[in-house]
Amino acid sequence: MIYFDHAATTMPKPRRVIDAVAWAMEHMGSLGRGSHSAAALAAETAYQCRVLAGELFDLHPEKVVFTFNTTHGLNIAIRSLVGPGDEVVISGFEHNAVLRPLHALGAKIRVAGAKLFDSQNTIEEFRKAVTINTKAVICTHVSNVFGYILPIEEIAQICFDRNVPFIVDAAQSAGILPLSVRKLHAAFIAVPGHKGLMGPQGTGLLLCGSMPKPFLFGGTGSLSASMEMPDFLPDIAEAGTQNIHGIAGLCEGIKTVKKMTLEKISAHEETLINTLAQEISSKPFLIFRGEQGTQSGVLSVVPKNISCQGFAEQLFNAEFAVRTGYHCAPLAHKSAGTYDTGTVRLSVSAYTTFEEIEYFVNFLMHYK
Amino acid sequence: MYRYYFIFRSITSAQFALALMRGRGIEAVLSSAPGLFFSNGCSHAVQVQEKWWIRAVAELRKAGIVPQRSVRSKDGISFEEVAV
Repeated sequence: MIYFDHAATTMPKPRRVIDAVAWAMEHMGSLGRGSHSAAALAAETAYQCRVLAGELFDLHPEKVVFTFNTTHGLNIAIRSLVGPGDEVVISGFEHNAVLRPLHALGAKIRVAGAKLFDSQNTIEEFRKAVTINTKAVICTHVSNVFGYILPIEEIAQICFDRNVPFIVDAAQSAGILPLSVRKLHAAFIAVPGHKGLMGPQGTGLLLCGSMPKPFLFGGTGSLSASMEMPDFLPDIAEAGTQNIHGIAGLCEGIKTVKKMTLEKISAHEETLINTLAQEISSKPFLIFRGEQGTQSGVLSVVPKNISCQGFAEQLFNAEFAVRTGYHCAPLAHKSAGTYDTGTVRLSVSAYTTFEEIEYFVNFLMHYK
Repeated sequence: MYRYYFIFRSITSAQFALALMRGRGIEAVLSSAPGLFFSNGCSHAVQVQEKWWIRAVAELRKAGIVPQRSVRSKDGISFEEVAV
């Protein structure tokens, strides 16, 4: 199979990630739940992971919270800052991981910046939408449907100037594009462990520029005599046994990313997507393409002569793995005008090769 | 010979201090929590031998790290508080 679904999860994982998970399952105890050697090993591994994440995302290791996935991190962030009836400004490309928690809370959602690949318009829209009534701004760094890289630095500046907390959904950018909690003055950045960071599924990070509220309540291995959750990071947001096996893998994933460097990873993905888009351009597809520097390793297309599902079926039969439909982001489709069709999404990673792209191009050779 | 324990509020704070000490060449280990004896729940501790104590305190101070409390023990059973 040729895998073009890295936006869902990177696959296969680097060998060192797989080995680290297996090794942890044999040797590690529970993080923070004892001081015997197995627990200490778990504690050291978790701490090393926090340090590596702290270096990559520019924040103190104690402000790195382990989560199960990006959605978990976003739920903690949103519940920490937003209450029923509060006005929240979001981009027109948000995932259901943002929309559903806001809807469940009964927040007033205001959408800004719905023009695909138009950074200037996005900035202007946020400038207009963020007011004294805004309780929080939430913005995805990269659209999971179209790969649109949103201008989060400028949006962060608007939030900073107006003293509005800023939450970033970095599901598609962490481990691919530079991200600094400090530079963005971000209240929270939610990060998946299993995508750009190449770790196992069931891992994620919440990078805390602000103090979160407890989301889950339970044991933390600290202040056990108290009925209250600890009021300090990371314990305030880490109730229950942590996924140390996953964290051990994530640790190796982050090391891999750091070794490859973000510059090389993002440049590689951009070149692959450019090549793909160029080769597809002569075929009967509507292609969603941004200017240089506005698109990451995700390319959405809509076939002109067949449904998205039909095209995906053909790709499936030819052993290409892609994703079709809404990609859990109906708002992005409303913004881009693809709500009636959905899209076929091709997404690449640092491990995608030019041979794989070539194979796909050959498949399309006779496609009319 | 005494063993000294720096007690921290969480495993992560203890790890942070441990990494700092080791980075400065101090022999330190994560330890069971004598904090239990001080009704402090499961606080976590970093243990150093007597010969490292003064340097460890100095390095923690320099880094602005403040343990919740510090204790020392000869036998690992009875503890006495020490000022940092």
